[in-house]
Amino acid sequence: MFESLARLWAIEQQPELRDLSLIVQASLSRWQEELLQLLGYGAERRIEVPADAMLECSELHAASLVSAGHFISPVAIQHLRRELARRVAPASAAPRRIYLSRQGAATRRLANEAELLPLLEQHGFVVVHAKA
Amino acid sequence: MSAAEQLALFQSAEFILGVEGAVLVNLMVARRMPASGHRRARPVSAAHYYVSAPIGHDFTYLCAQPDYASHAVLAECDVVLPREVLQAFLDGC
Repeated sequence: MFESLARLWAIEQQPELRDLSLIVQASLSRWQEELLQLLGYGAERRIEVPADAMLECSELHAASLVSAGHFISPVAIQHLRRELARRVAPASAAPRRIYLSRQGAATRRLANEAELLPLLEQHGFVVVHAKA
Repeated sequence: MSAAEQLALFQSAEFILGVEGAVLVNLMVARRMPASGHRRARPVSAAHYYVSAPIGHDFTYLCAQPDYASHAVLAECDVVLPREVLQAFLDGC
């Protein structure tokens, strides 16, 4: 998803393309939908295409990939950083040191988290369950 | 948490620790800071480093050991981070 979002930078470079709708897969996750909404691509600006459907377009522009493997263009990252920071204000009462727990996840949990939490708390970390 | 709540949280934070996962992509909006991901010993993915580097985060990995019994796929295994590794890292920050 991030690799796809980063491609929005390429669209922003072409003012004549900014009003076009975005073609995306159907059944976006809540997180994907929220990020697109934040970046100005609400439901009214998206065309959601189911996996088994075909779409015929009179005009189609495909944004170039801005990533290769894990590498993502720094320019695209800075673009997303600017655009998202412009739309979301920092949380005023949020902890300054956070530990992101995955205990609610199905995989890749920190198996000895209970043993480490006192140490983290001692250093001022607050446990956050970001996916909750 | 919603995407906006996650972004707001990361924007406010000065120090972020976590096992590598998709939520770390929010590092792209965090202010320049030392950030860190725990990570299994292997394979090490550079994905979040590449998100952090252009922003100037001090990003590093702590190597943890996979709990092989937790999942058939190595990349999805739970991990164990030795307490002394975390202790040494935090003491040095």
